[in-house]
Amino acid sequence: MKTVLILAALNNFISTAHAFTMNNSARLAFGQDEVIVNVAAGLCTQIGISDEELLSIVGKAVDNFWNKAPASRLKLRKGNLINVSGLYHSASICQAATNCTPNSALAVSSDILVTCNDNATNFPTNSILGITIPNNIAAGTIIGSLVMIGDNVGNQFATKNTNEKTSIIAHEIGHAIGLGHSPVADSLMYYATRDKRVALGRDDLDGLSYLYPKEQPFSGCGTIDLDSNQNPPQDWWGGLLIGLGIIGLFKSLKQKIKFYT
Amino acid sequence: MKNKYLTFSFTLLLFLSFVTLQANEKNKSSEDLNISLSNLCEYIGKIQTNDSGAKNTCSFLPSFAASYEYPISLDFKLAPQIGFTLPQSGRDPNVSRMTLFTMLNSKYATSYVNFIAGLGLYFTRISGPGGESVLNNGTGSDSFPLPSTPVYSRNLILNFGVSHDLNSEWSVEMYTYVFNTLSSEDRAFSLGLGASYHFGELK
Repeated sequence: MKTVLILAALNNFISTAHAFTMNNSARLAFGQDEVIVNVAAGLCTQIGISDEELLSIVGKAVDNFWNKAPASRLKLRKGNLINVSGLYHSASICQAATNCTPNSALAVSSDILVTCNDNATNFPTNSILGITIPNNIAAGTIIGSLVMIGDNVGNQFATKNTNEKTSIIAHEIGHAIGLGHSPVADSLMYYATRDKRVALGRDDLDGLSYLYPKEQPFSGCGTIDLDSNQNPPQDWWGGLLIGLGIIGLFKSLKQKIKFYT
Repeated sequence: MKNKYLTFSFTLLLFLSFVTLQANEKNKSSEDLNISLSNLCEYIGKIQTNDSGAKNTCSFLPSFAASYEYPISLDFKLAPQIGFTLPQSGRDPNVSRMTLFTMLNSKYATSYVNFIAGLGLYFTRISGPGGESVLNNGTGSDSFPLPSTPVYSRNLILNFGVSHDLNSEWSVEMYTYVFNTLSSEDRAFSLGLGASYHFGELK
């Protein structure tokens, strides 16, 4: 399923339900806790910033938004400029005549790749700023996702200030990690841009915690997974047992203290 | 927002100053079962609350807890605690979220206030109705899957607080949960203010 971001002024909508959503019915998410966000080098010609500036904005997008979620295990890291085929600038993200079956020629081998693109199928109007799809999926997890920024002549991404560009890219990265749109305007995953987007909304935090639940103090070791085939894991019982264990340990300690005193 | 914090802190200090004037001594060396009701202000300053850029301060989130205090010395107690917050919808009515927590607190008593420090696990449960939602997708609308099966995230948290005994049965307390203490990028604070009823020693 492809997702796009468009200017608020152009659209009103009525939603029939209100919740964070996911961008695929399989609840797909990256398997690893740390995902790198790279930028395709030399492909942006119309967005008004250099590759280095785009990479810097990607860094802000992950640090100012997604890495601040207290109950999520996912950490996004700014990657590097990498050289890719010119197809990433010109090809459609979906195969023709499909309900967006990913174009296999653009499969991202791992993590997330941000590129500029001027394909008219991807960006039929200048108000569509970005488009994203997890396009490398295996064994129920996302292996690689592709984020495309509108690089067609006249695309309104170029007119946005740095803060807006940051939140637009953060929104697209949200799709890349498995989130769909939110119906509430104070969420980053709302379909339209907002001038003053400064942090994740509650709906974004809930969605991120849902797909990437934190598992402190450690993951896996010492926990009981009731159904290891489920994604995300359902191993909260393990944590509860740890808590009860702490209480039990304390009671034993208390009895020993009483005994010696 | 800074002014709001200052106003809140000042009001709280004023309140604590007032109640400390009424402090009375109680038997600090006995075991004590207590239950508490408080309001938890979750992740203060971390969440955008409108499309003008405002961030959250405090909202209504009732928290219930039970604790049993074991005296280690005259002034020092250990207090295992379990509790939960009232299930609420998320930002959206169809998402349900609640939290459960288990803590091991220590309590050091002085003449006027008790200092609390502890460690615990904080579970956030998120669930939804399942199915799909038709939402705007820029060029039109599209169906997006909604959450269904409950998912729990688990945070190791630190707890710091102070409490004050109003009398032998009631106390008031303020506490702070610190999430991701060692990680500056996703460190977060939740602030609670509430009251406890003390049943005394279980016999």
